[in-house]
Amino acid sequence: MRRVRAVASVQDLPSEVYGPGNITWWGALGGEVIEGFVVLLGVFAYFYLRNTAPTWPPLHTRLPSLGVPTLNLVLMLLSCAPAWFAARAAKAEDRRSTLIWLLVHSLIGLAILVVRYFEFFALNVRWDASAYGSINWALLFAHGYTAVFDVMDTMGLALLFMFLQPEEKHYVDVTENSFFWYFVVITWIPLFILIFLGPRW
Amino acid sequence: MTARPLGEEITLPPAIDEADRARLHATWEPVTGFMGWLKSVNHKSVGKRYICTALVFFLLGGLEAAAMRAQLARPDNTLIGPDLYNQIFTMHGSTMMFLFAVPIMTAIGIYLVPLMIGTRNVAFPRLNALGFWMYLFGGIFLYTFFFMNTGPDAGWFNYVPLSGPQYGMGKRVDVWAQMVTFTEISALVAALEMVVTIFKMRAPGMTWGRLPLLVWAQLVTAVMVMFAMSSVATASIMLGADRLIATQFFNPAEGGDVLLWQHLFWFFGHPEVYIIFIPALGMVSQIVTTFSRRPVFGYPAMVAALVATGTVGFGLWVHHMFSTSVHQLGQSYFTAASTMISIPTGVQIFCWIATLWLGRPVWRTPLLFVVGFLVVFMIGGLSGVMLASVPFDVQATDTYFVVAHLHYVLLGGAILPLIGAFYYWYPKVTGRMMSERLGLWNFWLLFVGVNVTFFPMHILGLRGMTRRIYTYPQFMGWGTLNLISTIGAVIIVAGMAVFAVNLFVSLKRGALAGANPWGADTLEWATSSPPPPYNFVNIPVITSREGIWAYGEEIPVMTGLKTDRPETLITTTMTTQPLYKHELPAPTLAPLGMAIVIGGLLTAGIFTPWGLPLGSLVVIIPFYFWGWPDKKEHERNLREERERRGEAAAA
Repeated sequence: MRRVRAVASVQDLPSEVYGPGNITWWGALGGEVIEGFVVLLGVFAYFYLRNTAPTWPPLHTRLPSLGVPTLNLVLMLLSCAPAWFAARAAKAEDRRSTLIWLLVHSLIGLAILVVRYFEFFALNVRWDASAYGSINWALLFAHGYTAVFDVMDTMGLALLFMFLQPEEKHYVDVTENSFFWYFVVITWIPLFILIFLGPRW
Repeated sequence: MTARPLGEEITLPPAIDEADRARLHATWEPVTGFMGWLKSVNHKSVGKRYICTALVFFLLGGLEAAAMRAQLARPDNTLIGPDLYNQIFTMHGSTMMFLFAVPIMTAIGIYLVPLMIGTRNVAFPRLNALGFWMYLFGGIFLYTFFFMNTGPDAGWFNYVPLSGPQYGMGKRVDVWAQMVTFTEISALVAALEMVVTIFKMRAPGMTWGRLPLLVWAQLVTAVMVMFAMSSVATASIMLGADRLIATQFFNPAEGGDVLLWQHLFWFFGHPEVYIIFIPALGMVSQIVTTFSRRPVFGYPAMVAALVATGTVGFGLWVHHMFSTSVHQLGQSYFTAASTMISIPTGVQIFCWIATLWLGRPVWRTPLLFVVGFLVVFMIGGLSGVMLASVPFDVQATDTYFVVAHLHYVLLGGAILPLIGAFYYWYPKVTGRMMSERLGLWNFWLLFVGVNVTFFPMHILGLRGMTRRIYTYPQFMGWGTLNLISTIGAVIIVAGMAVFAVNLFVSLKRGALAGANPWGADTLEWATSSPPPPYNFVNIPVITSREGIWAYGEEIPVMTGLKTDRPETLITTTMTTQPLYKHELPAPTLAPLGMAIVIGGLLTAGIFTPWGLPLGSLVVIIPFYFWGWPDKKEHERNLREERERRGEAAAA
């Protein structure tokens, strides 16, 4: 039997790191890759259907309205601020500020989801009217579903920060939650252009 | 290069005492019995469960195949009617692809990868357990409906419009589409955690150039799953929506397109073959290395070939659609790409041959299966190159030639190496050797059976026998070849029966294996068989691509992980420098609870459109339960953080 030789001790290593060193960051990135690719396939389907359609949108279909979707785009862009401030406060391990920004983020997130509901009607087409209607509903829904889960996560973290003394790992979770939220917002920009401006070109 | 004797013992003795070892055991396996089984998040328990469940589905898929061969044994046979036959061939394909092949390859990764890279569990153990439960429930879901005569019946690729609302009556296709959702959740979470585990949890020193080839194969596969499964998820959700809420994705009358389904399906379906095949290539590389008694020839070329196969594998899907209205330029491109994929596989085959040539091959059962794989897979690969040519493909589409090709590729490329892998890693998992004598019988029966069953199908296809027909008239002259094929199937059944007997009998009567019965080079052989719940007493340090073959008299390890909590080491992605200590979650019922809720919502989802939104609301409960910290652990962590801060302030 061979002998074992300790070459180093990891005893003094930290129990968490922020950013790409952390496995949670990689988990979030993996989630983004999967979600992002699903959205990309939706975009592929959009162009596939659009290419085979004689007119886009189909005849007698109203163009989508712009008011509500623009409001939501603005809300989403604004929501990056509390996400960013929450992450910054978390890195400083400041419980009070983190909680405040998590609450603001949760509220804007909920507002975005409510506006998302009305956005479906801003499409001015039913999902079952045509393939045009179906793919636009699908893109809106797919993105909305991702947003719902991140808002749920934000609210969960807000609850945790409200009722428990957070551990270091929970501060890391806040930064990863913001990281995922940026992804939700960034993917929305091309989708907004595609869904609401696309039919106008 | 000196050849190494078979059976050299290498184990990692403790740098800590027996009390610590006992504490480690209690820490990593705190709950036993039935509750322990339900709560377990250990990668080995989850991996074994996955493997056993996949074997049950393999048996079911095999029985379906046997039923089809019995029906086709003679012309005008009336054993199985057309409706049941439709369900059986759809169930066979769906079971083998979604419930057996992908899960078992994943499962072997789940079991072996943490051991091979020198860590103690996967990165997200609860997600891992969730993946298993989703897979199990998906399989139960499919078979429950099948036994209620609502099994899917439009073929495993469910082409619209046959599977659309117009022709696919009842809930049969919905069952298929939702089974895909179950298994895709399972495959996606497994892939995600496999990628993160391999990126962040490799033992110090295990740089990318020292990663065992099976781990490379699992990494390439996991990345492929992330893209391919997303595609079939998108497709199956669209199909379900077309059927349930009258969306128009695939309805040409309202601007939809039936070929969109084929694109989305085959963008998954073709890489799926590589998702099954690439892990098998990794297994072959490990077996060839061990039994050649030397490092694999051309390691960089092998890695490049795996990555190339994974990449090019996504550029071939249209060759499944040559008989549709694909543009000629597209056809030429996909012909070229389909032919090109044989290059990386060729590279690997030459490297294996070179390894065997330069080594001192020890002819044990696992190596025998590798040789069987080379022969059968090459036949399948060559008929694949034939099918890559458009004029030939148009003639052979939907004939038994394609059936012969795909079974040669899948049985040759995946099943033979997989069974070889069972013989190879069984001692590690169970602590006992499988019988070599039964192994020989197993191999020869299977090898002969596969060829007798599937070779005549090439000829049947060329003589015009189309696939998915439940019977054929005598005057077509297909009777003799079909009978031969059915006799082959009987031989396969005999071979698999020997395998099953060997699996069960060896569990009790197999010779004790010891830590490293084959004298292999990778890290899983550096711990006892079966491995303890914590895998390694200390995290080993890797000094060479040759793994444990390269250790001298001393084995370098890293100490300092706590024994009173399930801690493991996270390292940097490129250089594997130790970065931080990560406490993994304790056993919990949360994954099971989550899977029950998601399973309920998916089942409701085939009957009502409200299943998804309402179910998503209910998911919040286990979602929060999952994330909420355990009180005792929470207080302990806070106390320790305070102490650390106090020390830092004092310093």
